[in-house]
Amino acid sequence: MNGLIESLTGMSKMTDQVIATDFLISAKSGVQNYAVAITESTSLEVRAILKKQLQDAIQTHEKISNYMMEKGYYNAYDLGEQYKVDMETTDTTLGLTKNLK
Amino acid sequence: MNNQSIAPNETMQLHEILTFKNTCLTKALTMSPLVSDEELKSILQQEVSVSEKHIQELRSLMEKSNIASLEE
Repeated sequence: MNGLIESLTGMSKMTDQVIATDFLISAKSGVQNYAVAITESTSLEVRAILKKQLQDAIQTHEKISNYMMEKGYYNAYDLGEQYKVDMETTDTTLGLTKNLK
Repeated sequence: MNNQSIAPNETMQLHEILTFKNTCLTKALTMSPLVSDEELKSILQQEVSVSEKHIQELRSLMEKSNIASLEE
C-alpha cells in the first residue's frame, strides 16, 4: 500500500498480509457458497456451470492458502508460530483504533 | 414445465452467488494495485479474470430465468 496510507493507518508492511487474509476468507466462502448452491440446483445447465465454477474456486483457494503458508502468514503445522502471528496481527489491529482516537 | 428451465430456488441461489462474486471481483480489482508483493498481485489478477468469466456465465443464466421477465 502506498506510504501515505501506511503511515496514516500505522499498518506499514501489514497490508499484504491483510489483503491476502481477506482474499483467503473470500476464497473459502466461495467454495462453501458453490457447494450449497449445487445442492439446490435442479437443472442440468445450472448444475454444470456451478460445478465448473466450484472447481475454479477450489483452485483459487489452493493458490492463496499455499501462498500464505509460504509467507508464514498461515502456519497449519505449527500452532505456536500461528499463535505468534495471531497476536501480532491482533496488536496491529487494536493499535489502529488507538491511532484514530 | 420443462425440467430444463431454471427453477425459482435455483434463481435465488444464482442471485446469491452473483452478488458474492460481484463483491469479490470489485475487491480483487481495487486491492491489487495496493499490494507490494508481485506473487500476491498475480494471484489477485488471476482472480479478476476468472471471476469476470464466472460473472458473465451467472448473468446469462439469470437472464434465462423467470425473474428476468419481471424487470420493468
